[in-house]
Amino acid sequence: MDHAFDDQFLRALRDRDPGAEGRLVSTFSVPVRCKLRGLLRSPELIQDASQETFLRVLRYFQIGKTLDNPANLPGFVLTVCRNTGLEYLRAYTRHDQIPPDMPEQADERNSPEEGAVEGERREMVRRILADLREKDRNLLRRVFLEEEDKDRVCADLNVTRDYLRVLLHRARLRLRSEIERGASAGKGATG
Amino acid sequence: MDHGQALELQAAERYLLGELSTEEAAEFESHFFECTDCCVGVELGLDFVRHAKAVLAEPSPAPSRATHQPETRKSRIDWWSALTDVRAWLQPASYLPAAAAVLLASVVIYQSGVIIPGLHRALTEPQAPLQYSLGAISRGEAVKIDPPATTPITLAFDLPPDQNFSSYRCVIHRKSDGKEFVEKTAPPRAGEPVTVYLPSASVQNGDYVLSVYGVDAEGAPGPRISDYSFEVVGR
Repeated sequence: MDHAFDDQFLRALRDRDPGAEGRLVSTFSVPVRCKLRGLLRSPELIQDASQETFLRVLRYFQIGKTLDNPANLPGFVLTVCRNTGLEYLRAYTRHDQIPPDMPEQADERNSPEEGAVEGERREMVRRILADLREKDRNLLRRVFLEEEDKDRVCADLNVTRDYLRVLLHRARLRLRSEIERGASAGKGATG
Repeated sequence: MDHGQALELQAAERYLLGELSTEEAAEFESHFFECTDCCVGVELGLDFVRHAKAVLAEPSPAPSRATHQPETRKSRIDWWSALTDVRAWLQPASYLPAAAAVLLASVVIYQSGVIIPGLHRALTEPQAPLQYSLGAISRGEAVKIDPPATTPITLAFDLPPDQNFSSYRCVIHRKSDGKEFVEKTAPPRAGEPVTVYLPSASVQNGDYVLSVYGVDAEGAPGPRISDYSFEVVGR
């Protein structure tokens, strides 16, 4: 376990300690976002549901409630996040839904800095895709973009499901190394 | 689920691909809410998939490796593709050059395998011609000779007496197609016959007449001296 939480931290949340609240948000913002991205398509909804999740968690402690075991805090945040995400999903299912095959829209609320990061990351992914073999690119296109049945795609292209997982794993590692390289280059430029 | 189990299960990839059961997905979510490494892995995977969908949805395909290669490499690939494209060879426009190429190849193979080795053997290998004696037409019927197919022959005949030409011109005429073979020969030594060599390829079945003409010292053609007749059989 990477994060250790204790009674003192929960009391700090109850007392609205900005440091503790900041630590809670910074610790769980990524997993909450990951979980919500699995439930919701719209970046706006994900952002709203994420804020609502943290609001509910903080409110829980601020009204004097607590956890029997502070180590269960990650599970508690996950539960709140899942419930919030499902509520948002149900609420917005009654209204206009984004078609499943529609490309995701860029978050218009991104700051210029966030927009630059998004653009830079997309170029990294473009380079990664360009370095792939045509067959692998076709595999990813059919699985993720066209959302075809994975077993059928793998059979068509004469690869196994393991191959698909390894392909995704390598692409993920490559993206990580590209980001780290970009970060170190940025430090070098400013340093 | 601990980190080791998550790695062993390839849980991050399975989660991104939607391959985990509901229970497994819930277990993995509980894990990555506690494990920064797995959480970052999932986020990177989600980022990759999101951007990949946008890039792959673009009208122009992502540049392939081939486009990064120099032009010469591309030209070489195109040339090879055109050469190995079976459908292109089946087009009517390809028939004439293909037929010409096949014909040329046949000629080259025949020359290389048959004609040139035969000529080479004729020039370099010792030949043992069979010799046949001819009598002048006035002495009787044509002499019948039956040499083996691949054996050259030598025709020997006596000149009439008192011939003093510096050389003789022998013309062998084949009656069936009118073809003639000409050979010059020096005067024979006293008491010996004149001999004319015929390569095996020049001898075919049929009736022949050998006419001998005298040639003087200045090379001027002289009169016909004598005729000899022979028939080749069994070739």
